[in-house]
Amino acid sequence: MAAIALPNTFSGTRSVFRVCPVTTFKVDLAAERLIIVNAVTAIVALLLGGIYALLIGLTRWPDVHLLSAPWFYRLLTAHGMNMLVFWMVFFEVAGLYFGGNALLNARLVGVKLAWVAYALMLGGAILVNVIIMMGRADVMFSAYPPLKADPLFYVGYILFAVGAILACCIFLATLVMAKVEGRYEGSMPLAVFGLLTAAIIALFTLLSGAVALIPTLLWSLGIGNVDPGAYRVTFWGFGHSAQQVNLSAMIAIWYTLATLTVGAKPVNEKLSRFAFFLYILFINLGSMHHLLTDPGLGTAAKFFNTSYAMYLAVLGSLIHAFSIPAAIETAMRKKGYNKGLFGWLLNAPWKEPGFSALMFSLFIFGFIGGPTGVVLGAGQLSLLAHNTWRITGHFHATVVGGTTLAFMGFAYYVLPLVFRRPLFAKKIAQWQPWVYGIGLIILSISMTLAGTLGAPRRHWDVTFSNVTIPVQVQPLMNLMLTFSGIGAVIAATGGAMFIIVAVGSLLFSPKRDPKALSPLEA
Amino acid sequence: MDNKHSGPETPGTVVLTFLLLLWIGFLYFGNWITLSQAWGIR
Repeated sequence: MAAIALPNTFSGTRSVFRVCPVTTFKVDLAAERLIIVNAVTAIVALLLGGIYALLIGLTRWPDVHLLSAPWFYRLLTAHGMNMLVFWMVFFEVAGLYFGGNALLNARLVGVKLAWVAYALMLGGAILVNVIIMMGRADVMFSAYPPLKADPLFYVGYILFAVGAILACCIFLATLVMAKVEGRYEGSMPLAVFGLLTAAIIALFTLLSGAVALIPTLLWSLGIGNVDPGAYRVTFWGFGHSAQQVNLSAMIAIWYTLATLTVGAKPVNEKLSRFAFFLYILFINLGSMHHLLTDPGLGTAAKFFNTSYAMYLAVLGSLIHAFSIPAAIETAMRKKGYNKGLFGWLLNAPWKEPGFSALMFSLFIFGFIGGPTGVVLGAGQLSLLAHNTWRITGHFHATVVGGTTLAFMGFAYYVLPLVFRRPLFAKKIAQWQPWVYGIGLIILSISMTLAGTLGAPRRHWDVTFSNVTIPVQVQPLMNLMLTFSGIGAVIAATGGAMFIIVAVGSLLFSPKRDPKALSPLEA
Repeated sequence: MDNKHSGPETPGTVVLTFLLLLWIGFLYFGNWITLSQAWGIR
């Protein structure tokens, strides 16, 4: 391992870097340890959330109906927290440190503070998980008052958010210091710009979470009161905006994976940066689709959201939706794959797990998650769809089929390049994005259709099988509920395949410098 | 100047994007029609 030491401005200390023999990136060793520890913790949260997902999926499958009602809601709370918050944010923090450090050849600023941030996030995540499993916080991810959890649940939530705010500030300071120390020339790379967008949205998101959760903590301690309407408005400033952080990070990873897998370059970098900028201004208003049916929010705000902000946010997404496939097509055509309209696509490296994960993520997000979100963002349609399983179908296609799959694809590069562990069980890695992607396509489409036929979300028994007065359920809805169970089992298998590859690589692969960029050859 | 082709440089992506827009339109207006029928608006 080649190592170099570079002096740090102001402090007089020196940071030690290793030079990656494949990418030639300079990796700050102090940052590398933080990237590894945050990414590993993220994978543990993914494992927990995945186990709960399988159990929940088998409960909503009417013929299986596995869990009792209390355990269904308990594990639904734990699933939401581990997947939507802990897996995502730990991985994003690893991504921020990687982007701010390796992609800019810069050192990480405030390494000790970064460890404090990690400790806060880990402590918060453990506390939340323990309190949920003790049965003292069956309030689900949104924790709407007057549902009240143990105060320690809110303490855990807040500790995690404070740690994440600190991590975002460290990333921003790292970018500033990289510029001051002249570690890169010109504009920062597009992927880092995307991560910067994610960090800016994350700060707004986490502060909204604090505004919602701190009074709720006091209320759970018997101090003061919480207005449920005000809570809903501020909570969704956190709850849905957190998914916009995931969106920005996912798109930054899409651009990165397109470059890593086929050598694609953005067709127009300024346009892509403009699309990220649109996100900063408008995408957070996407959170309002949870509030379009809420009487606590004024008509003017709903009109502005559904008429203007939504269009400009979607414009950003459509720019990316064109730019990334166009960059891949251009790169493949340059390599000589010019036959017909789609020769470039058919001849793409589909056996490379990074590429198949990228394409499944693009397809699931682009054709299922994004468009269903646009439909749900229309006020009048929201009246029909709100709190049905359509919402769940939408966000399983965005956060899971889109973001999680993109993160998994990126992890296949991180394992050999940053962890310096060649992939364990390469055949499993090759098939994993296919299994996970197909499972999620079945899951999200059947959730959406079941919701359209009237299945409510967050419901232990939508067929009302044990009630005194029988409820007529459409047979087609029952079929969709069954399909969603099958989709959940296939997706959980794909998730388990990822865990086998990731954990197996960490535990059983010998540590050595990568030999090639491709994770199958590294 | 290279005049080998006069169309877009990424024709496959143009077609895919067109299909995406059609799909969004189908979902959006399909839902509108369902909604208006549910409300009895003709």
